[in-house]
Amino acid sequence: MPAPKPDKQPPDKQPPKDQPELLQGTLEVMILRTLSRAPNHGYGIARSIELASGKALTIEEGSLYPALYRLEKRGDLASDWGTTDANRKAKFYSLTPRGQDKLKEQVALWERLSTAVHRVLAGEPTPERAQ
Amino acid sequence: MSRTLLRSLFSFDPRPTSEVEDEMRAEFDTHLAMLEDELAQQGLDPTTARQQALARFGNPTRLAREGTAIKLGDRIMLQRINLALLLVVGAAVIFLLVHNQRMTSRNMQTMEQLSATIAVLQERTQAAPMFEPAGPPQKLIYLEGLVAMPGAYVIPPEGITLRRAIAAAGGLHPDARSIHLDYGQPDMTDITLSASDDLPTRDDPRLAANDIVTVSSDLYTGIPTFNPETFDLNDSTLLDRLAKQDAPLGRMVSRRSEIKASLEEAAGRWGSDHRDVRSAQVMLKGADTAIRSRIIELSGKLKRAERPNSSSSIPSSEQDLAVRVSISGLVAKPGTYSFAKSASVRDLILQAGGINTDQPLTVMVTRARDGQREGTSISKNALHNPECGNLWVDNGDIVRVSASPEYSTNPVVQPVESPMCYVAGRVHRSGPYAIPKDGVTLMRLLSTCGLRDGATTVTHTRGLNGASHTIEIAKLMKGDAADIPVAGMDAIEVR
Repeated sequence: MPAPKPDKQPPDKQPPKDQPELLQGTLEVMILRTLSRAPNHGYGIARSIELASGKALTIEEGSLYPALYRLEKRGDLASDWGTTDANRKAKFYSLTPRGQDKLKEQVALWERLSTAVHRVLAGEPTPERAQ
Repeated sequence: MSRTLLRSLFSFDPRPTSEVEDEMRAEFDTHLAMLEDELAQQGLDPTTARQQALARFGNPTRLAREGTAIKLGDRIMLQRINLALLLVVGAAVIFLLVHNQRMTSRNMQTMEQLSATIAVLQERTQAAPMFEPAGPPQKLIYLEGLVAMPGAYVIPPEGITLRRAIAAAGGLHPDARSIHLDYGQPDMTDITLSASDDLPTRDDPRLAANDIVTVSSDLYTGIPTFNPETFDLNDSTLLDRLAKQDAPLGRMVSRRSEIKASLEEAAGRWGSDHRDVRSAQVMLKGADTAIRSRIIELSGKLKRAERPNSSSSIPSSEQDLAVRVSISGLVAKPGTYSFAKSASVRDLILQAGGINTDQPLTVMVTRARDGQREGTSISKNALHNPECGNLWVDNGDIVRVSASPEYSTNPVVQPVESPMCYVAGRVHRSGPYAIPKDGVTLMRLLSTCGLRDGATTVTHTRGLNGASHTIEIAKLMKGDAADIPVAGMDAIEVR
């Protein structure tokens, strides 16, 4: 899973001070990951991310939506109005095949990156140097 | 990148902005409602739950704005590009229209100039006798009405005067009564001369470009608003002008001014109610009536009978007939003749007493309706043939019979440089003559023009304002009087 990252965002978009902001790309990867399990609506995605990150990552929930729209616009997501278990009308987002590919790419990238970052932090030599 | 752009260009949300926004709002509302439910389950009261839900969610208005920018940004950009393109195309169309309009008006101007040029050229080709062949630049004068060859004439380099111009146009028709000179220059006042009295005695006015000489059988040419029924008898200028043209009228006018003077004197002495004043008023009224009826008479048919040297033999009963045609030249009795309906040239010549020469003659008809000319040939013998002279004449036409070997609408063609002299009077061919390079003498000139029977004297005027002297033709022919050279601008009048 992607690690939280400190960030510098414009002041008007700042979340509560003790909460680290998410990079846009990070949020998108998390959305894709969440939706790879099952289609969900905005509220569900927010809860899911909150749960998965162990509440370490509480986002301003509304900022999910610009990210969702951007992904939808790019064709990574599809959306449709549906009904929740509580019989509420909500818009459900699902992953398109393109979105699935994107997720795989991003996950691989994130893993490489986080490994590298982890190594740097642990003071281990890079694999290239080791050889 | 370009694929993304292409797809977004062709796959943008087609819905109106408000609908897209409403959908986002609905989505946000669901989310907020779910958050509220969650918080309420944690035991918060509804108001606090709502506040906390909003705090966690963020500002829906800002988010909706951001969402619209993401969802419709491409479309808005495309619309802007569209608008910009539309403006550019619109500007181009307007520019083309304006340009086209300008070109059209420029073309129209060119066309107008061309058609004006064509009109002038046509006029020149049709326009009749010229002092010299057409060549730029030409200053024209116009002679119309009762001259033998009306038309546009080119002013020769030395200039021309009224009498010479009339001579150049073949002289006055016997019916001519007034000559109206309409100066082409706006600052000159038109003048009207009496053809019979004024012309020989008065200074010969010089003509300039665009002058119009109108010769008319009417006394009133040049007085455009003149109406004999209503005109003001106290307008002494007009009255004097008319009085000069008719001796009885002159006597009436002077008698009227005597009455008027004594009337004014008596009224001053005794007041307007006095018996003598009233009788003078009656006399004045009588004089007015007499003058008016004399003028009406003069303007009507009787003036023909009054014409000096009248050679016309129209019985007065024929005067109201429909077709009146004037004939001049080599016929026994030139003058004006009337016909009940259209007549042929042959009828007219027979009416005018036939032809008194055996040589073949030229007949030129100047149409009253449009000033156009038509010509034909005729001879004395041919007059017996009813087919001959089968050219119809109509009301107001002027017919000239001359001995020129062939008719032409442009009978006088002269080299540009040649100086001209002008011959009028009792000759067969009056008009302008070019002086040959080696000069010409009076006697040679007269034989060129052909003296008519009864010609006795010739008056030779040197130059425009030079001395003139009269020679008896018999003496000239016998050699008793010296033959003199004729130069440019000389005027020769045979009587």
